Amino acid sequence: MDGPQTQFLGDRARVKDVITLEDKISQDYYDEVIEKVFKPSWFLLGNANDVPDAGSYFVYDVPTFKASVLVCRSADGTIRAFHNVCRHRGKKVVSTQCGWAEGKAARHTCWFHGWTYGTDGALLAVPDERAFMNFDKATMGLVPIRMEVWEGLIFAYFGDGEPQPLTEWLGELSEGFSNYYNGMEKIATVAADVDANWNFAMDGFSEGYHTVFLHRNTQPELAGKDNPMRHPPVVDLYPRHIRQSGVANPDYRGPPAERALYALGRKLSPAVETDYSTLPPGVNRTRHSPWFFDVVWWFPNVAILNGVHWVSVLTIWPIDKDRSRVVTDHYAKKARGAGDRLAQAYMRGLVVSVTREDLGALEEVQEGVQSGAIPSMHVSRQEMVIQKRYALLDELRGQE
Amino acid sequence: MTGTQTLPEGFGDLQPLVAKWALKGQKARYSQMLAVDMAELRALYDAVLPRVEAIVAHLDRFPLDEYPPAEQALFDLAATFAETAHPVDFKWKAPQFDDIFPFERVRLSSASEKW
Repeated sequence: MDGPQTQFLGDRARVKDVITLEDKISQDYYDEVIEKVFKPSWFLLGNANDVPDAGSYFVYDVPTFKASVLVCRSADGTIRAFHNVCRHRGKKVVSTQCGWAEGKAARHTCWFHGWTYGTDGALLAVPDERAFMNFDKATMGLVPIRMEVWEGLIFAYFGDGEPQPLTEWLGELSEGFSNYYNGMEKIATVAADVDANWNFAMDGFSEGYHTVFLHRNTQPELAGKDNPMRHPPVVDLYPRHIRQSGVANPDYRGPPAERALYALGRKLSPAVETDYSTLPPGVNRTRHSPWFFDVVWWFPNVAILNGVHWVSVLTIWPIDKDRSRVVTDHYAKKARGAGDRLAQAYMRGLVVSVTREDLGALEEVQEGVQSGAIPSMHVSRQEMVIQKRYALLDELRGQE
Repeated sequence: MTGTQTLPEGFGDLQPLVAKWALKGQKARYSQMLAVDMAELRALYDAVLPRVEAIVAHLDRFPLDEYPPAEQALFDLAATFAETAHPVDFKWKAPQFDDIFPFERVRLSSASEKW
């Protein structure tokens, strides 16, 4: 018994269920994909609630573009993004640890020589300014990065030239998410650099097939008897992005501590919330039941898990052809009190163990592929999201 | 540091757990989970689980994230329990499995370290 079959809607042109491997780990393929796919894409960097107040900022190092991005909110509420690079000698203005920093500051001083910038990027102070010749402070603000906020989410663009407008780039998924992400607060960031090609890392976050096996110890109750392989009811294959609704185990009970904590606070992952009344139309759009969460893949490198009371964002940043940064940011509806906060604590503790299972598998795939033992991988209908990504990459590379 | 903090009145039974388990931030809590055996992890679980309802009721008399020191220690203890409960919940034989990605290579940042 393999359970109900999935309804695939949309564009399945050029998808293949056999995907060659040797080319995927070649330098040429990697360079071509960065140039033709990553550079002209928008990238999700965070939630506007990550910078809640005037002066709130975060710094996100994006290894794919060797960029360090300073995102800050000004006193007037505007969120802006800049290269976190001092205009004087090029040091990072805000130092990062393992690719991240955050805090609150009305101004940012580069402590190499004391150059100071405002939250709008303007260069405010240059010590010993008169020692500089032919120098106009007004033209020496931090270098801006193209950034847009959509439904409370912050996107940045790193390519040259004018990007496709963000809502156009999001396409069909640009609608149906009102008042959803802006009710969420970040509860955890779990990240690691892994020795694995970015495509293989994305593959690992592109199907539910693995969850029954790889996560057997951390998510033992995921699959219901009615649908043991967790076939999703609907997969929407849009020209670029994908939305999939994921099934829940209708008999899910959860273990004792989880049950106790999710009864005192909101029901977070992996518990099953059956009240969909707060969901926007874009999440579980068919109102399938029993439902657990949707996954939206924002091509090329993001999978965002949309639950009733929680959201997890999985981002893969290529570092080089054999190495990637996996960043998982976890959100939950803003806590109303201690019950919600402790429910968040349960979810984020479990998430570390689940993510460690995923990360371990990615490196073993890389080793296996690099051995050259198998020429290709066979992927099932349930791994259609993988098929679709490779097909789209081929199309954008100009290969058929 | 909440290691020596006295818990609020009525939670004296949990006081012996404070030094080891009233920890701030996800890294400290998860690291401690990995540093002990299941018997010790279960002792924390068995002590705190029956008290979480009372803990939440007490903490909710104060504004979230602005707890006085005694309440902060109580929250940190309860949060450590919550973040380390899953190995006991799932009846694992150890706080982690042998073939799992090393925790030392995982970065916990941002909100993970705020509370």
